[in-house]
Amino acid sequence: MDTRKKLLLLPYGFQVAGWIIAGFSAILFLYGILFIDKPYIQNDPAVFGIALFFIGLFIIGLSRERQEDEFTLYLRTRSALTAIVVMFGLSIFMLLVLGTLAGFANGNDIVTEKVFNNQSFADFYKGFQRHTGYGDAFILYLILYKIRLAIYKRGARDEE
Amino acid sequence: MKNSIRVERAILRISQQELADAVGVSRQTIYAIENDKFIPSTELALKISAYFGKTVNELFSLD
Repeated sequence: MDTRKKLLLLPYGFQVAGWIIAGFSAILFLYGILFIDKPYIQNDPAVFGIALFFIGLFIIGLSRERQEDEFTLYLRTRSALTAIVVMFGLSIFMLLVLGTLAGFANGNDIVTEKVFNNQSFADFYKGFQRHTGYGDAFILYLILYKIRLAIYKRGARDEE
Repeated sequence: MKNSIRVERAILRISQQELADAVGVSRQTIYAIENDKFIPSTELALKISAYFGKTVNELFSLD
């Protein structure tokens, strides 16, 4: 049985295209931030740069390596699992630890100001939830996967 | 799980890349297997064993 056929991925050429898109979008973002004097949300190059950056990362994460085999599949699976557990852990931490803190600190101006930025816990948690969604889990997966792959590539090169 | 791939490779004087090409995987996969970081599938273990002319039991053993 060919285990490589189990994972549907884009051809390797897409990964190269993804890196080019991500690089171009980073330049676009920097151009928007440095040279266009507008608030962030009205700054078209910066907003477009971020959107394009995520598209680039998405393409990179879903493209095959030059040689995709069972070890890369293992690294992908491990990284995806770690990313999900970390994001879920952060969510639980927010609800249990900071939720408890918010309950105890009810009416305490210093805690409300310093920890929750003068918001109610519900609003604060909603803001946080935007950063523990699938998009962030995917980026964390991609970072972990690429770092692990780079470590093994480096190790193999050193041993050669 | 331990394995003697590095020893067998040294006997035949072949590089990780040559073994990787012969069994159809990447060099980092061979590196990970040799360093006990990754346990290969039965299919890959059979391919590596066949390449060295050994049985899987001769190449791989439990700790």
